[in-house]
Amino acid sequence: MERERRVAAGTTADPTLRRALGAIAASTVRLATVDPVTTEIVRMRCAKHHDCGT
Amino acid sequence: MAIGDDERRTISHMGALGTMPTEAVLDRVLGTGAAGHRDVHADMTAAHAAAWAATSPRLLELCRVRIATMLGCTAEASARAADSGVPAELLEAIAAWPTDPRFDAADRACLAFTEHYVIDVASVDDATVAAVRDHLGDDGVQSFVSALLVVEQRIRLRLMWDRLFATTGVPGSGEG
Repeated sequence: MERERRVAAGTTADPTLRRALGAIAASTVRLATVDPVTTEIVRMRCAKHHDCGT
Repeated sequence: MAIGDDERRTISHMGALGTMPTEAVLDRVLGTGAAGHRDVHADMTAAHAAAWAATSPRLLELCRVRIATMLGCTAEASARAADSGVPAELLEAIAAWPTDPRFDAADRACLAFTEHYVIDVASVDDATVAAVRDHLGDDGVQSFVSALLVVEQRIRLRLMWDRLFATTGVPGSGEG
């Protein structure tokens, strides 16, 4: 579903917080104790649950 | 996150996580040494600090306590952030925010957003976002939502660890 922008183009969250969130995502992906297929299935299930098309 | 036998034995002797502050639970479960997941731990800790620096501590504290009460996380609901500036009695009245006059317009906008966010993040409507934007501005909305993600994720993780390691023992360990 197409939606109109809710915040102005070019708007960003606090840069330090944005970098910190990126770091969590990166370090979580680097964890190797869960196999990649299970990890991807869980990620896709979460995206579906939250209606996230990205 | 899979847990090896050594980690399982260590965690099973931690005692009741449910009585510990969340920071202590993070230390115990993720570890701070080479055997644990110290990179994830460090990144989560950094994000938590950044979240509190990026938005109004008052608004984030009100919303943190609201999330904790909605999700039934007693430890987080009773914890208090240092220097948030929110009176204790206001936090104790958090469920009454729609009608309690001690909550101002910015509080209400952010708490309404938070409730929608927790219940169904995909259904947050334009008016709910606009109300927050009216108080925080465009950049402020993005920082607020990002900070909210950090505190919500931390509470959900805490709840899961409480269930796994404290309430029912460690899965597969024969304890609990």
